[in-house]
Amino acid sequence: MKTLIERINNTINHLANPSKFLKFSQIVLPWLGALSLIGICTGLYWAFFKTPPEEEMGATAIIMFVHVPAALISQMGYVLVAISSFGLLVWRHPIADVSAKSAAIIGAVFTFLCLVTGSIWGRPDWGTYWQWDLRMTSVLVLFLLYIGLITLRGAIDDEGQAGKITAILALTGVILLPIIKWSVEWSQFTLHQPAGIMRGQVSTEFLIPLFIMIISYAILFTYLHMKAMRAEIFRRRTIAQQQRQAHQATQIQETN
Amino acid sequence: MQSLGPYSNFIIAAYAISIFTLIGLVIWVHKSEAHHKKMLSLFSEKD
Repeated sequence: MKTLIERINNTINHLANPSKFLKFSQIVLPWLGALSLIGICTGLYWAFFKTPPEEEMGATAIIMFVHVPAALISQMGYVLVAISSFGLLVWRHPIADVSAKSAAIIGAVFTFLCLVTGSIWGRPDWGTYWQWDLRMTSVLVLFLLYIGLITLRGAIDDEGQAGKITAILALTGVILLPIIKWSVEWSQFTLHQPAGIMRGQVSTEFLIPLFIMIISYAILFTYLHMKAMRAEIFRRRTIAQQQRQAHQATQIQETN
Repeated sequence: MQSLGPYSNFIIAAYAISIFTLIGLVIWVHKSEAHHKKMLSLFSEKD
């Protein structure tokens, strides 16, 4: 057990080096991209051609295969933002800041997809696109929190300061995750059905493509996150290079 | 393939939005990475 923890710790320390991360991601990214593409195509084929219409909801239940993975990944993305923010505040490692920044943008897109697909699914099933219950409102707040993190970072010129302030906001927002998780159980007036996967309420015909889609979305998120992190590392290196050149130019001017 | 029934428009809309948004996101991260990589190489060349 100890050796496993040591190994995980060593791997994290190894990847915390931006140059090593760039090398590692270059090898892993094509595999992740191919896996997510194959997984999503398989999941969609299974959803449309192998699953029968659901007994209560009918054919609209098929929306589940894009809504549920987006919902899970939007929360997983926020967990990643929070862990990265914690890493930045405690260990002050710049790659943790790069990770938090990249995950926020992608997490916001997945939350948007969760809200839109849920809303579209709601109209035929509940008779309304939106209801201000605890589940839907808390997911909307999660989306606004993501937007807030992105905007706050963009509003502060000093990148170091922006990273720290955004990290504090991200950590305070963690309180939202248990609210989203148990919102259906806590809320008395909600149209949203409770999660049926863990309770065994979803039949195998739906469970298999759903799991394929969830895993494929998770792989896709990892792929997008790594790509965005690489872009951010290159951007920061360019800025550092620009600053170095500007500094050298001023020194030359001063000596002349 | 199962029949999509009277609400086929909703199903198609949900899938179209999901697929096109994700494709857009993939294109954006690719372009962003390529752009910043190019910028870095341009500045490195000046050195």
